[in-house]
Order: sequence, then C-alpha cells, then structure tokens
Amino acid sequence: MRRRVGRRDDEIDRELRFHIEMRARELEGAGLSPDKARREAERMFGRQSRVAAVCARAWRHPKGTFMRSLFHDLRDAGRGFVRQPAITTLMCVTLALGIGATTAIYTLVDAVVLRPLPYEASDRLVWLQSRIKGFEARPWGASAAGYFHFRERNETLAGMGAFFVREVNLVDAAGPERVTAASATASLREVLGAALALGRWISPEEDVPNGPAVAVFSHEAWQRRYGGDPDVIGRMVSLDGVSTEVIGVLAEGFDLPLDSADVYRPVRLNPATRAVNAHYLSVIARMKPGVEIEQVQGDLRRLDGQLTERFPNAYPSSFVAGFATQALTLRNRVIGSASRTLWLLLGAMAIVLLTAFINVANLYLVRSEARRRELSIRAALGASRGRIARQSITEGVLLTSVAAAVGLALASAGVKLLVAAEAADIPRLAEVTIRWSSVAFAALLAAVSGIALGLFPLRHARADASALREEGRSTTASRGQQAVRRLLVGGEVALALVLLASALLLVQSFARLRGVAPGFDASGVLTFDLSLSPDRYASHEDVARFYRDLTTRVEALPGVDRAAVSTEVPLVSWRGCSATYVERPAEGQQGRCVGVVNATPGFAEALGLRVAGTLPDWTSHDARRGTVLITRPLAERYWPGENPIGRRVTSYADGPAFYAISGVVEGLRAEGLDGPEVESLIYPVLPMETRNAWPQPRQTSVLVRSTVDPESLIRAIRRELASLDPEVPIGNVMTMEQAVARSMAHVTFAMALIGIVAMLALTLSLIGVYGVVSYLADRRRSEIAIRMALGASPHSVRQLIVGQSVTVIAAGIAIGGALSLATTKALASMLFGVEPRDLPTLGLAMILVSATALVAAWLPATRAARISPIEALRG
Amino acid sequence: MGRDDLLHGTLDLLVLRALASGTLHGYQIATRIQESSKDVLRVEEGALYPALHRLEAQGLLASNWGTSDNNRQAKYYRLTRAGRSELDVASERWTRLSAAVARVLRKA
Repeated sequence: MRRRVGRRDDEIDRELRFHIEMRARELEGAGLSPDKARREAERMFGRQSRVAAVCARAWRHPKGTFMRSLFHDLRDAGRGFVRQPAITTLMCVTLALGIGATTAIYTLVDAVVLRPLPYEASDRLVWLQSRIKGFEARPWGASAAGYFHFRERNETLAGMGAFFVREVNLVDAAGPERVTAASATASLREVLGAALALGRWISPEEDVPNGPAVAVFSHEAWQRRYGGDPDVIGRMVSLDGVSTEVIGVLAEGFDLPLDSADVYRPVRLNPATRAVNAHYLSVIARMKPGVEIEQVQGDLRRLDGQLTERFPNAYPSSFVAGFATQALTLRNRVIGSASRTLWLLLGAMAIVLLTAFINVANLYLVRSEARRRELSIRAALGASRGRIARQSITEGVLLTSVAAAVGLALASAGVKLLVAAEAADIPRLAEVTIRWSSVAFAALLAAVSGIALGLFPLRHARADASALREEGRSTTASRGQQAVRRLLVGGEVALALVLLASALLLVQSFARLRGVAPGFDASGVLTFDLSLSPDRYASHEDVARFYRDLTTRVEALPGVDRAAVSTEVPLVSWRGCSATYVERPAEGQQGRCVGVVNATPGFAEALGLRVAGTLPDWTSHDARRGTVLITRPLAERYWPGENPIGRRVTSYADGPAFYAISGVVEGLRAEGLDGPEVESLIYPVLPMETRNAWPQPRQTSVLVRSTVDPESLIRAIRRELASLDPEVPIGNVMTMEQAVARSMAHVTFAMALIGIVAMLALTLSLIGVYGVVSYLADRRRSEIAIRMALGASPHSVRQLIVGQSVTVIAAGIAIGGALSLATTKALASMLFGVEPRDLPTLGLAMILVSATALVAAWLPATRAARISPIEALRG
Repeated sequence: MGRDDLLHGTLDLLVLRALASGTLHGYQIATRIQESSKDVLRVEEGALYPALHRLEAQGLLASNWGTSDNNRQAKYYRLTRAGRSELDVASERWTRLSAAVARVLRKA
C-alpha cells in the first residue's frame, strides 16, 4: 500500500513537472531565454508541492468525496443551529429530557427485568416456599425435615440447596465487625453455579452435624475487610465466638438472590433430629432438563401429601390441611410485580418521549420554514434529492446526537439518584448501572429520531420552485394536520395537569410530614448499633454492667450531654411486641400485645423525650426498683382519664413481677411520622427478677446527644469501646436527623420522581404550545401583515393569535382536571394530611398549567404583532 | 456545498467537456478550455490538477501514460462511461441554471 502511494506521489510529480516544462517551452517560443522561461513557468504554476499535496488528497477517500461532503454538511448544520441559538437550545433540551428519562427507565428495565439473574442457566432455577394457614401474609421457607423430604423424594429436580441468613460477630486481627452470615448447604454452590475466586467451597463432608467450622467469604467482603489478600485462605477467624477456618472466596459479583451475605458457612442440618415445624430455610432447586414448573408444582403437591404420614408430630393433618409448598421460578420470586411496574413506567416514558419528539418536530418545522427557501433554491440549482435529503438528515442526526449525549448524562445521574434513594420495592437495584446497552439504546433513539426529523422538512422542499414564488408562504397546513397539532397540545396540557396535581399533592404531604412533631428532638443525636456475644455477656447483669461502663465513658467525652443504650430506636426500628397485663385485682384478662423497649437510664434525656414523672438513673436502675415508662396513648387505654403513675403492669409473664409506672412519655411517634403515637412500655435493662424476664438485650443501639461533629465523636467512641472490649462490633452509624429523613424516604422518592416527570410534562406542554402557536402565527404572516396594513393594532393581533390557542388550552385543562380526579386515588397510600381529591391543590395546578400555556402562546403572539405591514406588499 | 460546490462543479464541467472529443494531457486541457472560451476562462493550474485527480478518483476519468508530441512522457486523460453521462447531466443542469439566472436578471 505504501509503495502504491509512493508511486502515485511520483506520478503526480512527473505530471506537474511535464506541465511546467510545456509552459516553459511555450514561453521560450514567445522569445524568453530558456532559463527565464523556466522560472516564469514555475512562478505561474504556484507552489508545486502544495498542488501535489491537494492532488494526492483527492485519492485519500476513494470513490468520491463522501467524508469531505459529510464534513461540509456537519459544518453547515452546526452553523445553522448556532445561528438560531434559542430554538436550537429548546429543541436540544426537549429531546435531551425525553431521551434521558426514557434511557434511565430503560436502564432499570434492562438491569432488573431483561438481564437474566446472575446464576448459571438461571431460567431453570426454582424457589420453594410454603403457605401456612393463618400466616398467609408472608411466604415462609421450608423446615429442615421438609428440605430432606423434598430433596430425597422429588422426581423433577436435579439439585437442591438451602440457606438461611443471620447477623453474626466476626472477630479477627483487624477487630470486630457485625457481618451477615449465610448458613448454606454444600449443594447450594452447584445449584446456583457459583464460581470461586480463591480456595474452595464447603464440601459435603463438612456440611454434616458436628463438622469442622469453615467459612467462605464473598468477594465484596474479602475486598473490604482483607483488601483482596490471597493469604486469607487458611486463616482462623471467630464467628460468634466459634473459631473458624477460611477456606475460600467466592467470585466477584456473586450474591444470594434476595439476600446479601458477607460470609458462608455450612448449615449442618441433621436429618436424624426430630422434625420440627420451623420454616426458616430458603430453598432453591434446579429443574431436571425438559421439566416445566407446573410439573415441579405437581411433584411438590404429591410430596406435601406424605408429610403427615412421615412426620405426624410436626405436620399433623390439621396443619397440612391449609399448608402448601409452592414452586416459583427464581426469576418470578426475585422480580415479581416489579416487572409489570417497570414496563408500565417505560411505556409512560415512551409516550413522554413521543410528545417530546413531536414538539421538537414542530419546532423544527418552524425553523425549517425559514430554510425552505434555501432548500428550494438548492433543488432548483440542481442539487439532487438524495443530496438534499442527506444534508437534512445530517442536520437532524447532529441535533439528536447532541441531545442524546446530554440525555445520557442526565440518565446516568438519574440512575445514580434512583439507586442511592434505594427506590422502594425495586429488586436487583444494586445491579443497575448505565451499561453499553443503555448507550446503544440512547444512540438508537438519537438515530431514529434524527432521521425522522431530517425527513420531516423534505416534504416541504418537494415543490421545488414554489418557494421561489411568494405564494409558497400562504399555503396553509391541511386541516387534518392542524387538528392533530391541536389534539397534541391539548393532550400535553392535560398530561401536565395530571402530573403537576400529583406532584403538588406529594409536596404537600412531604411538607406536612416535615411539620409533624416526632415527640423527640433529633438534632445533635447520633445513633449506632452494637452487638454483644452471648458467651462473654451471658447474664442480664453482664450486659447491664457493660452498658453502664460504656455510657459513663461516652458521657465523659467532651461535648457529650447524655448517652444511653436501647433495644429500639424511634423511626429506625420500633418493632416487636409482647403480651402485657395490667395488675388488676380479681380479674382474668387477655394479654395485649404492646410494644416493649429495654433501655438504660438516660434514654429519655438522650432522645429529648417529653416525660411527665420521674426518670430512672443508674442507681435506681441497678437497685432493680421495678419501674417502667409508658406512652400516653397506652396509659389512656388502660386507665382512661386517670393518673397512671404508680399503676403496675407486666409483660413477658402473667404476673407477679409487676413494674410500677414512674413516668408518661408524651406524643412519641416512633413507627413513622405518618403513623399514630405509639403504645409502648420502656423497661429497664435489668429485670426485677431473672425468672420470667425478657431476654438479655445484646443487639442494641446506642444513642448519644452531643454538641460535637458526629464524625469526630464516633472516632472517640470507637476508641472508648476498643479499650472497654475490642471484640464488640458497631454498625449503622447515623444521626437521628438522617433517621428521620430516611423514614420519609418513600414520600421523598415518590415526590422527586413524580415532580421530575411533572416538570418534564409541564416543560413539554410549554414547548408544545409555543411551537404550535409559533408555527400557526408564522403561517399567517401575510394575513397579519395585511391586517396591520389595514390598521389592526398590535394588541388585536396578539389577541387573534392567543385566542386561537385558548380553546385548545381550556379543553386540555378540563380533560386534565377530570383525569386528575380519577387518578390521584392511586397516590392515596403515599399521601399524608391531604386528600387525594384536594380541590385547592387541583385548582392551583390548573392555574399554574394555564398560566404556563398562556405565556407560551403569548410569546409568539407578541412576535407576530411586530410584523411589519410592509410584508403585505411582498405577499 | 454552497459557493465552493458551484465552482468545483463548473470547473469539473469544463474539464469533462474538454475531454468529450478525445484523450488529452493536463496542459492540453488547460489550453483547450482557454481557446474554446476565446481566452475568457483561464484555468489555474493549482485548481486544474486537483480537479483532474478528484474526477479520476471518482471514476469519471481514466488515465494512462503516453508519449507527447515533443517525445516526452505525459499523463493522458479520457472520459469513462460514467464521466460521459455525468457530462450530460451536468451540462443540462448548467443550462437550466444559467437560463434561470438570465431570467432573473431580465426581470430585475
């Protein structure tokens, strides 16, 4: 190739030299001296090397000048757009918003729904779950006996694995940490097709009762805790006090479906133990080749029928009557209804994108009105249809490409926000990132819309010379086209109204939620979880002593007002209840399930609770006086209208260890700002007597009220904790203000999402109205000019143009209003303190949308009013 | 396209026309155009040779090396079939355009 190029350069050189020679000869013939003739010929020729270079360049793009003319087209298109910055920006922003939003949702759909689950042949995996009579609210797992039963006797499954997940204390040279441990069968790896990065998986010999303590780390935990050190294999770590050998590390990206585990250890189920009806195992199985899920279900039904006969004690016929083991495809279990929601969302976005596109097409039409003459002149000058089409398409694609690039950036930011917000109920969210498929999707949108945009004005360039004649201007769009435009604008206005009304409802809910007094003072409070190991803190006294030492040390830190330890934290976790009885002479009573908390002295002070009565201190606590705090609604329920102080209650046992109420907590909303005030009892850590008492509170949260920066405070607390007991892990560090914000996340998220879509729709309707009115006004230029020449005032021209759109906008508002009333019900579960059909909100939304639409109509009308009457002469 | 294209188009048309009657080398093409236009159109060498190479690259011209009258090696150009039909199309276009421009000028 180089030689050929070299020869061509050589030939060009010879050719040019020949020319100069010929010229020199001619000059010589005219009487110049040979020397002078030669110099003159060279001068006339110009710089030979430059000409040679230009000649050579002609060959660089064989078969013509495609690249060259493409470059020209791009440059021309770019200049064209720069000449009209306002309209170009408007088109670009519209398309970028449309493409960005659609790409973001597509990315979600792709990662969550389209992409197979990250397991080998994942479409062959099934999830087993149990339906238990009386507990249908949630699906249950399998019991150990059931697992063995199904595993041994099934005829449709090729493999079966089980696991359950729980938090444990991991302690090694690097200190303690609370991690999630999966206790798994040796068979789980094969069923899921998990690969290992290092070492090996749990062997069947290890997964037996009393087998060796071994553990496999997840890749993520291995990186986080050991920085990817391969020497971790063979090392001993402590899991809940059990010395365990690390035998392997799983491949990157592997995690359990629906659960997340840092470390895996053998579950060591014992087939010989007596069957117990405890459904705690998650079971995943692989279907035999050719088997369908219905056959698996039939197989399981058959096996369910054998349970009573095989395990009469654990599965009596009364239990099995309402019991069923169900097989779901793993995909179905993981994705569930999210699939439909996401497709619907994508569909809605596609409609928004389509409206955006039609808007841009309208704007493009307004813009290409101005270019029509140019195109027509070119056509008259002989530019081929193909050539004009190519330039027009280049223009369209240039515009949409820029828009797609901006849109992709928007989508990327949007997806990150979505993932960070942990959007409620979307599974596999951690897997969601912008991938090449998203880029390809955006590029496809850009290409299709770009070509469509480019072809759009061509229809108008067809009537070659008509634009050269002035009557080309007055040909109005057909009635049909106009009707479509009006319908579109009306629809946009209606859509914007529905979305804006929804967004406003959510904004109000958010504001009302923010205004709710939670009953505690979140500012300046830091909270974190800790976990004590059962072997070193066996008794209530051990646990209480540790908490007293810890809070005393923390309170000694500079800036700390108060510290306390509690089993529950308002708005973070306030769950569980215990049967509670009131001391009432001679009256049998049904225990009532009441929320109970165990807390050290200082709990009320650290949280800033409002309490009427006396609060415990460590002296009274350790003296086991048997006092308890009660919340106001519960006190009112038990002793309406009376003073509860001194009354006695007990939980955990039907007396006689009754606790006397020493204080009443006012207005505490611990289960959610949108919920009622809680009915709870706040017990101490140390019970009056150990018999009939609550379990030792080892999984607890610490609350610290201080005036110092949380970052430096937590460092200081870690130091104190390490000097007290280096093996106690802490986690979930956050401020109570963050906890409050997080408790509102579902409303915040919905508000943000719907707010963004509403703004999008409003912007689109603004652009839509603007585009259509501009177009129509432009079409009527000569008419307007004539009116002005005949003495019409600018004001009446404005009215003429705006009036044309008022009916459309009004229709859109009416339809949108009706739609809002019909659809905002769907938001009811997310609303707080405002009715779904709140008329003032709807009215406000109507005013906002109408005002926006009228402004959008006003701008082109004002421009039309500036048309000079002189144009009438040209028309 | 615009102004540039029009110029290129014109020079291309002139070159194609000059070669319509037979095979010529670059110098002869320049001379032929100048003579046929009665010295009105002088072709710049700096534009002629790039045009020749561009047309050849596009397949409208073919070339071969031959011996000139003065016994020197020269590169001779001739029209290809594509070049001949391009000449027809381009002449037609030019006639239409010049007529249109003439009409406009008459009107104004």
